[in-house]
Order: sequence, then structure tokens, then C-alpha cells
Amino acid sequence: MIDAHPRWTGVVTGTVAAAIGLLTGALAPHGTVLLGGLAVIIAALVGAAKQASP
Amino acid sequence: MRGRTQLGWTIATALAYALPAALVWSLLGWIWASVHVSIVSRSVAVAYAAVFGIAEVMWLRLSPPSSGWGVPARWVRGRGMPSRTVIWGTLLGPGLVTKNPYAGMWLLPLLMWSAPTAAAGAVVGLGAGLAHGSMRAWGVRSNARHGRGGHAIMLRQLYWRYVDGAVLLFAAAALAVSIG
Repeated sequence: MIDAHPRWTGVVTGTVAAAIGLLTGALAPHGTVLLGGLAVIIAALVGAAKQASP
Repeated sequence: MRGRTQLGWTIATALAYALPAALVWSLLGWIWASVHVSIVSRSVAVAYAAVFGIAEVMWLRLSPPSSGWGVPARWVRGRGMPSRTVIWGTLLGPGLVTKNPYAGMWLLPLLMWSAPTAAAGAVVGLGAGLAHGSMRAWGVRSNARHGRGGHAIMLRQLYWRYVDGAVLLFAAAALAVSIG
């Protein structure tokens, strides 16, 4: 694995992401809207990230 | 004229990837949500997202489940571009059977399992399938247009993995609040 940046940046990024997640979880409806929103965001990210040619 | 051909291929590629993905994932969502066990399923999703999210943002060696299978070259050899696009789209659009370096992929079934009803699971799956298939098609078209080599793609994978980890931690926190 290539160390592209120091680990502390991962701690900061992860903490900020989790804090935004807590806020989102507190404000969003807890049913299908939350699950669907998360599914669309994650699926779009993973789909875009798989850039290796077929 | 060339621009219109490019646009036509981009739309055809997007359809070839997104439609099978939407069908497969909404069917999975329907089935998976039928057997949901609310608190258990969400707790498993939170634990999975937290563990793999930390691993990905901290560059730890923890690989998500992945198949090593790729579309065999003989399946597309000698075929025209439309047939190749349909074959690749059907197999790569849903993203379930080929190589997967991102842990976010396997949070999707856990989200469907957490859906309150089978219909809700199908809706979550439909959204996931359309999003994954469309963005996968965009990545394929983008690579073809910009002619990126294997090395550049591998380097970009490291950064995508980091972003995937951050989004997993976001999801873990949002789901953890929704359990309570």
C-alpha cells in the first residue's frame, strides 16, 4: 500500500465525515428516505470509482 | 457530427449499464428486505461501515469481500461495439460479480436488509442500481475518452478508496442515530 498522506489526515477526515453523518442522521427521516439516500450516494461513488477498464 | 456520435455512445453505454443494474438491485432489495430484522440489520450495517470506513481512511490493509472474476476476453472477442457494450453493461453495471476494491459496495445489501418493507427495499435497490450502473458507465466512457493507462487508474483507486472510507463513516454515523 502506498502511503499517499499521513494517517492523521485520515483521523481528521473520518471525524468530520462522522460528525456530518450524525447531524444528517438526526435531521433526516429514519425510514426509506435515509436508506435510499445513503444507497444512492454510496452506489454512485463506488460506480464512479471502479474505473479499471473491463 | 462526431460530437453527436460521442453523445449517442455515452447514452447507449449508460442505458446498457444502468438498466440491468436497476433490475438486479431492485429485485435483490425486494428479496433482502422481506427478511429484515430492523435493529439487528441496522446494527450490522453500522458495524460494517465503521470498521471498513476506518480501514479505508487510515490506509489499513483490510480488503472488502471481492470476486477475482473478470469478463472473459473470448466473450467479447470478434463482436461489434453494440454487443460488447450490452455484455459489459449487463455484467459490470450491477457490479456484483466482478472485482471490487471498495467496501462501500457491500453496505448496499445491508441497507436494503434494513428497509422497513419489501417494497421499500426494492426502491432502495432501484436507486442503488441506477446510480451504480450510470456512474460505472460514466467511468468507462471517461477512461475511453481520456485514454488513461493502468498505472494512472491504480493510483486513482487509492484516492477513491479514501473517499469511500469517509462516506462509509458518514453512513455509519447517520445509521447509528437512526437506530435509537
